[in-house]
Amino acid sequence: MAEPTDDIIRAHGLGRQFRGRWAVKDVDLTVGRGEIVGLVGPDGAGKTTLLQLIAAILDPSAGRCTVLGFDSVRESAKITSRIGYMAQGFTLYDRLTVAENIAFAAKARNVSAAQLAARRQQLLAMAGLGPFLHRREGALSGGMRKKLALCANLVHEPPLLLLDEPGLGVDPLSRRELWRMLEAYRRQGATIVFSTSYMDEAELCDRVAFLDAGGIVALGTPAELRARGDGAAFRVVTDDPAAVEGALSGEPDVLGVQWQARDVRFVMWPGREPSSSLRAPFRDLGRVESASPTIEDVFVILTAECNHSGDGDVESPSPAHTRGPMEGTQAQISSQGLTRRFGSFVAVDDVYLDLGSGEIFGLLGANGAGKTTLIRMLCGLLSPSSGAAWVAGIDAVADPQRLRQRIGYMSQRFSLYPDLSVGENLSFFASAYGLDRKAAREAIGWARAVTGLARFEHHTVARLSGAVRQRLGLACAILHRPAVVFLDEPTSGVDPLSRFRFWRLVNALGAAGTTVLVTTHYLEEAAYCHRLGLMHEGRLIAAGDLASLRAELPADVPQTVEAVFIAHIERARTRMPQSESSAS
Amino acid sequence: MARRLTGLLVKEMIQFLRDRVVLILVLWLYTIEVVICAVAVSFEVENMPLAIVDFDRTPESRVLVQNFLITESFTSAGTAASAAEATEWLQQGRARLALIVPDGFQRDLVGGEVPPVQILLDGTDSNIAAQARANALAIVGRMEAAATAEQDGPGRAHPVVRVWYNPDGRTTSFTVLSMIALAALMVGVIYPAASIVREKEAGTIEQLRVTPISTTELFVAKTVPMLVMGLVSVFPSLLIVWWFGVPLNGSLAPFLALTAVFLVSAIAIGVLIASISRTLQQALLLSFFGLFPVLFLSGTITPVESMPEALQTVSFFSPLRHYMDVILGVFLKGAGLPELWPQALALIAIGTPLFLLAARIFQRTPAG
Repeated sequence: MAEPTDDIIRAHGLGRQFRGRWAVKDVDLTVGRGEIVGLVGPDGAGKTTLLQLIAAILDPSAGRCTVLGFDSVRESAKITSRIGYMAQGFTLYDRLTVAENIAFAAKARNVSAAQLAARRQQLLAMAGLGPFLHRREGALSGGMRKKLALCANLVHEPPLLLLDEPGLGVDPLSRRELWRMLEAYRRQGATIVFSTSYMDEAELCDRVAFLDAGGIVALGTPAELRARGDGAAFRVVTDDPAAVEGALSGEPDVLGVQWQARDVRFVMWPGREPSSSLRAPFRDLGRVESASPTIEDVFVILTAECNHSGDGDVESPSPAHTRGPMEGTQAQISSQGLTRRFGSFVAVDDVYLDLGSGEIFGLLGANGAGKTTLIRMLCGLLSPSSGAAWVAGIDAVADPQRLRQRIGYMSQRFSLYPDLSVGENLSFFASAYGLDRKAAREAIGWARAVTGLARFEHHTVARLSGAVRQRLGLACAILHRPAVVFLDEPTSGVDPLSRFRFWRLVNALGAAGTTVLVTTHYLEEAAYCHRLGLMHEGRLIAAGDLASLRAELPADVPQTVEAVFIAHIERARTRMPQSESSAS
Repeated sequence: MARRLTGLLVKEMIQFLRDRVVLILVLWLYTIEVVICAVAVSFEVENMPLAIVDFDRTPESRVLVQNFLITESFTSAGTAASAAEATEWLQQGRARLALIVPDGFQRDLVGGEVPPVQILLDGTDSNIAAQARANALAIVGRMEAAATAEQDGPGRAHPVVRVWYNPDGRTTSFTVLSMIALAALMVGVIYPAASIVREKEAGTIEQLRVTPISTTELFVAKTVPMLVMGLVSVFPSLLIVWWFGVPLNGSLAPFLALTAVFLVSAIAIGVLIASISRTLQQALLLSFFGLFPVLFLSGTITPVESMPEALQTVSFFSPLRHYMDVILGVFLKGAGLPELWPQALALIAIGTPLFLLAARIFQRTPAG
């Protein structure tokens, strides 16, 4: 070490400019040995850029950064050869096997063969990848691929590990295992800095840094951050959460609203009490009481504060004017014994579904559990091996062509034209659904207003943030007023406030009579759904509202969605003969 | 139906015009690339260093050497003392060919016999060597002819060769026109392939599959704009044609019409390649593999007549072969449809089944 200090990272006035815009600005951050620091913040806040600056793979435009005692500009090679850095997405070689990927990472890091042999066994055992040594990386499930990427980054035992959204697109079970690996690794004295959009991960950090517009707005332990929301969080216990949500949505002082099973949480500007005019409509609906703030509440408050004072780039969608499906179309979904095999692998196994008009149905399950395959069959994109499906009054197996006019589909991957502008994408999809000029103009105007996209009209999609892209994806999928909408992980990687706004749109669609089938890895989002379906290894192992799913379990299972989810999967595992699962 | 198609066509046009890289590539292929090849790829023999070994040392032998050196084909690399030294020069690359005039050259020539003149050639570049050999033989032949003509007096016929359609005997016209034909082929194959595969990679093709857009509409949208764009991009190359002074003896209309027919085959190949590729990388590699046989069998690089008979038959299926006939015919021979209808029929006969096959395969595997 060049400096007699135990600080692993010391950043002073660190900044980075891209084309005249500061992606990271004036960041002071000191991270001590053995700390876990989480970076949170809205899309485009600069989390990735900050991680790249610390990893010394990007030179700062201002300030300086010392990592492991080395200067990030002059001694960048010394930093990059010592640390571990895991970028967003899947970064290993999908055609190499698990063993080959690890061996390559070891070679690239000058790890000797003897060291590799010992560490590989230990790492793969920790990740539960031992049995898959000779499987190609591309054939692993999303959760396994992330764990393997982590192993590849731990093979040279780095003292500092930088992770960019490690939990993105990973199911809750795999995320828990990833977290266990990180904790075990930290116990050996390593330091970890990572970015995340999962607030449950932020709660587990030693310290959390909240970024907005390139700067650190708040930094502290989770408890310290939560304290910033004292007196701003409230809760209404009610039998009619939709009515409460409706009453709250028009209030300017209310920053965010979240549904739970029987209560509605909301956050207000700190220091402002719910006024008597706000309390008035609740008299019949339920009691307003103060609640203890969560990190997520603080996130909402901090984002709102930043946008209030600065150049707010978030335009609130206004779901109030949501239009339902075209008159006279049915909106039910039903399937009977729907099954899809790929070779000997059963991706979807005998699924029975029955969704009514206007229902919001959430599908939960691990990566590779068959959710996407099920949705693709219901959309008519994939023909089932056996079984039947009716969607919006049409036989999805026999007549997928007619089905298309009645459904909207937002795939897991963002799939609009990145080289076209927002307006061009909207007009193209309006024409794709055969809307005439007048109808297209109306539909586009409506979709733009509902999703809050008006100011992005001429922006090229490639340059939009994830949250705006996702709203555009939804807008393009509902232009033709479909009866049924399928949303496959629509909120993946989107910050909590944008997610909340997205869900308000989904709820409004449901209220207008549109049936919505949605998948998500954010378990807190289960609260927005009317009913949930849990999928495991291709089978729908449980379905019902949260209360009935809980009721099926022993009383000692905790009340959280995660606990219910995991308990159901574990119960299914003990009942089913153990089979080796893989990605669909 | 019409609305969906219009929307698709507008989208394709916007994407084509917005993609700077592709625009520059298309322009490059039709202009700069043509210029580079026309300037660099020349089969004409100029200033080849010639080693001279004159054992005869007579006026006639000196005339022969002079006859070599006054042409633009050869320059003197010096006089070598022996055949062995000349061979050494060839080895070193100091000379590319050697002229060895034997003792008794003048005597034989005057005596009416064919004097044995030896020419040693560096055959490493066979094209150049063949051309140099022909030039050298022509020079020697002319001298013999002149000698015999003197003896037999006037009245004896000797051949006069005239080169039609390309009176200057320049290879530039051929190179420029064949590069333009090649550019049409490359653009015609690669652009539709890239635009389809790009949709696969971006996942947008799946998004299209959940809209009422049919695969037929998508196929039309991927091929028709390309035909229009392929025709429009021929025009910059006409500037190059004019710049190199290549004559346009025929008229433009039949040329454009037959170019369109040719592009149909090229686009069909592009769609077929896209149907079996998953990534842009695969599509580009496959395009090159697909383009080479079409190119080699077209007569652009070696004349069809000099191929083995079996390959000559196969070469009939290379659309580029017929298009080469068309482009050379229109520009150099001033030919029009009355002369070029066999080529037109051949292009239609190749293009139609290819296009139908492409449409069929595309409809079956829209998402790959």
